[in-house]
Amino acid sequence: MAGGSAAELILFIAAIVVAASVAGTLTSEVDRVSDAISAKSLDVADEIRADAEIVSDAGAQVYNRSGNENVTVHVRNTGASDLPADSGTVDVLLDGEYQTGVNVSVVGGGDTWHRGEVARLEFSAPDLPTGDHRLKLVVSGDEEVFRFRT
Amino acid sequence: MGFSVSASAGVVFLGVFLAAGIVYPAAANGFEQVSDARHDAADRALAQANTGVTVTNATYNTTTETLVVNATNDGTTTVDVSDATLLVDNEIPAPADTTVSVADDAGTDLWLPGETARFEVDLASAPNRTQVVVDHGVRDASDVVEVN
Repeated sequence: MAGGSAAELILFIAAIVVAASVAGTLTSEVDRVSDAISAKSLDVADEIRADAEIVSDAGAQVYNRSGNENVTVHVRNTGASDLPADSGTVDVLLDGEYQTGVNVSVVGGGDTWHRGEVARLEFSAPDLPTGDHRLKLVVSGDEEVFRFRT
Repeated sequence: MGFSVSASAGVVFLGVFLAAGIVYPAAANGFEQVSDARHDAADRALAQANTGVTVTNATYNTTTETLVVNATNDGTTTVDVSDATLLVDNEIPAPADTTVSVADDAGTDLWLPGETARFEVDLASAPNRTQVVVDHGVRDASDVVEVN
C-alpha cells in the first residue's frame, strides 16, 4: 500500500515537472515571438511613413551640369517622418548598377532631412553614354524611378 | 493518478494563459502602429490628390537679368510658400537671390487655392527650363521665354 502511494507521488511530481517545463518553454518562446512582432511592426510602420519623390525636371539637364560628370537629382521628403541626411538613407541604382559614394545634402543645410525638405543627391558617373537612362531610388522601402536622357 | 492529470493540465493551461497575455499586447500594439501609419499614408495620398500647381508663365528679362515665374495653386489645399521649391535648370537658386510673393503679398506663408505666386530670381544668364514643386512633391514645369 505504502509502495503504491510512493509510486503515485513520484508520478505526480513527474507530471507536474513535465507540465511546468512545457508551460515554461511555451511562455519563453511566445515572449520571443512577441518581441519580434513589436520590432517588425515598428519597422513596417516606419516604412509606411517614409516617402520620397524625385522632383528634378527630366526636361532640363540632369547629367554633367557642373562639368564634373556627376548625376544630380533633387528629392523631396514627402513622407511623415524625418530621415537622416546621409548616404545610408538612400539606395541609388543607375541603369541597374548600384551606385556608391552618393552625396546627400539637404538644400538649406542640416544633418536631418525633415518632412517637406528637398535633398540634393549627387554621384559620379564618368563617361555616361549618350542616350536614355533610368535611375532608381529606394528610400526606406519606397521606390522611385526617374528616367532622363543625356 | 486522476489528480496528477488535473494538476499538470492546470499548470499547462496556466502557461497558455500567460503566453496569451504576453502575445496579445504586442500584437495589438503592432497592429495599431501599422494601422496608424496606413491611415497617415491614406491622408497623405488624399492631400496629394487634392494639391495642384500650374506654372502659368516663366519669363527671363535680359535687361534686368531677372527670371519671373508665375504659378497658380489650382488644387483645393493650402500650400506653404516656404515649402515651395523653384528649380531653375535643375538647380535651386540661392535664397538670397529669390523673392516670393503670393497675390502681391511678400510676407505671407500661405498660398491659398486659386492664388498666384510670383517667384523672382536674379540670374546672370537665361535659363531654359523652370519647375515649381509644392507639398507632396506635386510639381509643374515650363520652358522659359526671354523678353527684353
